[in-house]
Amino acid sequence: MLKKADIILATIILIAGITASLVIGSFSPAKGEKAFVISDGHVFGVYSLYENRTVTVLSNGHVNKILIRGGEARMISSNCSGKDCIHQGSISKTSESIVCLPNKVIVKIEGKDKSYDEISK
Amino acid sequence: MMKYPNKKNTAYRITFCAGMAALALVFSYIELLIPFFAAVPGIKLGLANLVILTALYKLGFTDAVIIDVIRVLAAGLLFSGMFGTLYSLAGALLSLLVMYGLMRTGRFSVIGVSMAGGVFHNLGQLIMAALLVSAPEVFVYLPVLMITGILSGAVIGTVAYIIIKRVSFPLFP
Repeated sequence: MLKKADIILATIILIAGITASLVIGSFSPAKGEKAFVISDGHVFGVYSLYENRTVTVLSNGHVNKILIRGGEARMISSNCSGKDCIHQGSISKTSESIVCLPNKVIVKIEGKDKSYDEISK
Repeated sequence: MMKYPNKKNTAYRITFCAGMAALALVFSYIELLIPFFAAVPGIKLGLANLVILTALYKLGFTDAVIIDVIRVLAAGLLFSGMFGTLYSLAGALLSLLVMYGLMRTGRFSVIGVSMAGGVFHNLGQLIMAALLVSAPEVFVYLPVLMITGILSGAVIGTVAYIIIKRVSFPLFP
């Protein structure tokens, strides 16, 4: 029931898929444009990654300082217990994020375009 | 291509297409209940394609299109909303065109046709998503969806092969 042409077809599709993944893998995820700072579920602010600044997030006694410099964002200080957010280092690409769970602070990188998930859900 | 007992029997044709569309809709619903790898949106078994493939082989292209469009619109409006419907519609039509083309060549078995259908269904959805959101990043999903399209297409194709071979149409002459 399975013909030779079927196997050839599947092979061609597989090769196309692998080629596509290599091509796409070479230029994604894209370089981010903006840092979204979310505190306690609300957008605290949106900052361009190319304007150097320090953002201080104050909320319910939680203090987080985020450094934005040269296309990257980094958590430089936090009064949370684990300090995992600081150890996560710098982020610069779309879909990357730093999460400080105890203080409910999230830093997300977004590109120019709307993300796919936003609109599909 | 018409394989009805009587070409002019419109009532039979409408009833049969409606029945097939309802069956495809039920399969779409059953598929929702299976929590398939939710990591990548769009990975599905494609149970409804079982009905569409059978329709394509047994009833012809026109009826398969009619059944598929009814199925997509009904399932989309019931389960996934406007955007989801548009994605599915693009995928369904592209995959049906490709499957019809491959079937006409006569070189491929139902399994090969079904594999191509699965892959192009995913491709159609991605193209529509990229157009609607104007975000080419959605093509990141393409390789995964191509491989899963082949796998699910092969499974569905095997079952469809058995159905097409065993079930004689028309069912109710």
